[in-house]
Parts: sequence; structure tokens; C-alpha cells
Amino acid sequence: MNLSRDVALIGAGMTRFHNKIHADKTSREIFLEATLEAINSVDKNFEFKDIEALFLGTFSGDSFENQAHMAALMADWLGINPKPAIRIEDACASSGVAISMGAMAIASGLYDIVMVGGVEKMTSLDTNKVTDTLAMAADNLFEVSAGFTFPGLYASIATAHFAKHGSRWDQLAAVSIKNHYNGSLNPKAHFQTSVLDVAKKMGESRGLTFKDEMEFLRSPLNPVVAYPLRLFDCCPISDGAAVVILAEAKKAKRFTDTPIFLKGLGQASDTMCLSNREDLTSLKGTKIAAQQAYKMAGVKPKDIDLAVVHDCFTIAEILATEDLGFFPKGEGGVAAEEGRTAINGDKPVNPDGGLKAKGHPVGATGAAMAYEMFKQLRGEAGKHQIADAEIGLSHNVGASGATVTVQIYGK
Amino acid sequence: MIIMSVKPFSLKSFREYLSEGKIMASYCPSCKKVHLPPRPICPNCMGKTNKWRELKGEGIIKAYTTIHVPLTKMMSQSPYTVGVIEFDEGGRISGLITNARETDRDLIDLRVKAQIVKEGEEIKLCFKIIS
Repeated sequence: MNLSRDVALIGAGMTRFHNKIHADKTSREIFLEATLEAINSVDKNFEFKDIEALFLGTFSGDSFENQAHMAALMADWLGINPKPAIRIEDACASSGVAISMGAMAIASGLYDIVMVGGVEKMTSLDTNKVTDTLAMAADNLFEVSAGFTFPGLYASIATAHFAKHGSRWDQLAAVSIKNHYNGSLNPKAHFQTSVLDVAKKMGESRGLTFKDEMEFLRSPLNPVVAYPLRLFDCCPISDGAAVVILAEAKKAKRFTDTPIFLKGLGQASDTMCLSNREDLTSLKGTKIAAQQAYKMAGVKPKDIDLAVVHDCFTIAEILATEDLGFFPKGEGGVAAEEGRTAINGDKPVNPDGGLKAKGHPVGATGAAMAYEMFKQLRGEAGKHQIADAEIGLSHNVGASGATVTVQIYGK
Repeated sequence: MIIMSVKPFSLKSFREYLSEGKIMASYCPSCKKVHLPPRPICPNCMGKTNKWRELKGEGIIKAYTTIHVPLTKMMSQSPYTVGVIEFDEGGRISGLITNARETDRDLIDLRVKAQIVKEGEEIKLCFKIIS
């Protein structure tokens, strides 16, 4: 299947993702910041009033800020009333789904230009309350009641993957080291420090020295969150927002000479409970969504120049690189260890630092992936630019895989 | 053993059976699949002819983790181990593994026996490693 009308990105903006710099702002103010950057990024002729609708991905303002009805709130705050505003909640995939919904709204002929964004203000709650809130995206009756947390679900995937495919924690650590390095090249990232530099800094203040990253990552300074996942295997709690502006492809030319086209999209659902999946070491939703997106775009995994994948936990990046078809099943960990997914590897993954280092304000993540695609494919990604990137893929997962979206972008 | 559908395939029935000491799954006679929690429509073949099937309560660990940053309500038990259990008759469910709080050994494929635990109004399935 193809879209009835082609869709392009003409602008993109995002705040830095962080746990402190947005402390004095609410989600509406954070979202406005990303929106203004997106509007200013459009090359020519664009005015705020050109936006015909807002599709907003956000997970749980209800719990984080006691605020529901977030899309209307954002439309009000941006001053785009009476344009329609639609909230989409699919856990961590909320704004990945919102991108597809916005694209479909344009393809339908109803709108020519829409704004799609995501926002989350998480740090208003303490870590335990955030853990409880995130767990709402799992099956409350059959997973959370058993004691599962979100890190716990992915940690279980890891123990199953280790047993079935012989992967090891060292390979998870390789993902963390890579993504922290990439984050150090990205001014929008939550963490902009390599693991080695963190080790030096934390070691100095405690009178400890570490011979390399691995020695630090094995130390008590990197405590276990949910075995085998340690702190540096988990994405941080961050505040932030990201916004992209989508336009019908022919109209897009009015606003820029270098639009980025949405070439393919796919989405799939899977069981809410991890326990109900036949294969615990793979996300079926990723495989199906990817097949749809590859088919629509007319490309194969080998054609992808760079990918941003949903590495909420390091094991999730290994699963993604296998399930997206970049590496054979069971070899994602080896590929990470060998540097194949590094910024200078043959299949760069998460050059922006991924969720691991860039941060993961849940509802903003899918839109931030689209932002990265826009910058990379226009050659505007700065220090973490992948040279000559022509085709990019983004992969956004809700919870432990019950929702997955994949989008493929090209010039 | 297949029991005729004396109760509807509801979560209420599942809990009622648990309080009677029975772990009851739904069984699809056409595709031979056992499903937990029990449900009226087989998610495998969309069949609507599910039967109740009582499980003996033994199985193996397919995946697990020991949680050190717990849910607020589990704070006093931390660290604790939870896993995905596959029953011998088929059907999987998540549960607390009560005798493996902190462990150095790999728990995958170890045999477990179900324990039905009542905590006030709540009734839940936990598991004990027996191998």
C-alpha cells in the first residue's frame, strides 16, 4: 500500500532533553520552545497560521502533571485555535504514531500542512513515582501486579536473549558506551559525556581510578536496576519536546528546496503481556512494521544509511537491529561489540545518542526521531552527521512492544 | 482434564477459581492452545469454542529478572525476582518467584511450582523454584 498523496517534512525543532534545565517550565512551555524552533527552521514563506491541525503524542500528563486534554491545551498555548488538535497516547510510541496519523491526514486530502509533536514533563515526580507511572503502560492486572517494572520487562527479555542466543552483558555495555559517545556530539542530548569521562569524574570524587569503561561499568558506581540491566543500560528520566511540520509533497516545495520525504511507514500491535509472546527474544511488532515500511518505500535493510531505534534499554537496541533486519537474529550484540553500529560503522545506529544518552521524555521520543531524520538527511546534523546519508529509518516502540511504528525517510 | 464451561471466561472467574485453589486456563480445541489469562476468543485462531482447562501448576522459567528499583508498593520486598513462567500444559504468565531473591545462578529453564497467595483482597499467582 502507498499513501494517496506524498508527504514531506519541511521543518523540525526540539528542545534539549534534560532532567534539570526545564525544571521551572511546564509541558506547555517546553512544547512552545520546540514549536518555535520548528517554525523558524522552515526555509521560506512559512507562517504560523499555515498549520491546519496539530497531532500531539504524549503519554501521561495525567499522572506527571495532573493534566489531561493535552492537545487542546497545546493548541491554546500556541494560539492556533480553532485548528483541530488531537492527542495520541500509545505509551513510548505516542509521537511515532502521531507522525503516521499526521501523514495519513495529509494523504487523505483533508489537510495540506500539519504539525506533529510530542512532549513529556517527567521530572515533576520522584524516581519511584516515575517508575509507577511508566509501569501503567504494561498490563496492570498481569504484569505490574506480579511486581514487574519497565526495566524489569526488558531485563527479562535480556535473560531470555542471553539464554537463547548466547549474547552477553558486555554487548549491552558496548551499546551504552557507543550511545554515550554519540550523545557527546549532540548538543540536544541529555547526557553529553562519554562513559570514560563519566568514569574519570565519578572516580576522582571518590578516589578511584578505572582502567577503562568496562571496569567502571562493572563497578558498584553502576548499580543494578533490574538484573542484568544496570543504571547505564537504562535511558534517563528527561523532560523535553520535539515538533516536525509535515506538508503535502508538492506544496512542500513552496517552503523549502530541500524537503525530506516520508517514503514508507508501518505500524503493528502485539500482546500487552510479554508472557504471551511466542518468542521472548524478538519484537514481532518491529518485524511486521518494518516489513510494511520497507515495502512501501521500496527499499531493503541493506539500503538504510542510518537508523534511530528505540533503545529505552540497551537490550532493546540489540533486538531492534536484529528485528529490523540489519543483522541476523542473535548477532545484534556481536555487531554492537564490533563497532558496526558506531557512527563510523557500516550501519550507524542512534548517532544522536539514542534514548540512552539523548534522553527519553516518553511522548516526545517519536517526534525527536523524525527531527533527527530531517537534520541528518539535509546534512545539518553537525558533529554527529553521517556522511552522504540518503535513506534513514526510525523505529519507535510503545512499552515492551505492544505498539511499534517504523518510518523510512529519503531525500 | 477439560471441564465444561461452567463459568464465563472472565477475569472474575479466573480469580474465583484461584481462590478455590485452581489455576484455570482457556483451551482452544481447534488449535490445541492453552491461554492465560483465560479469554473467550482464542487469539491464535479466533475460535469461539474455548474450554476451561485446569493446570497442574508446574512449569519452567522462560525469562526472569531481579528487580532492585521496585514499584512503590513492592518497596519492602526489594530486591525481588519476577519471571515469565510456562506451564507444562502450555500457557504462560508472569509471577513473583518467591525463593530467589538474589541469585548468582541462571534461572532459565528451572522448574517451578505455583503458589496461590492471598494478600488482603488481592489474590495472585507466585512461583517457587523446585529444581
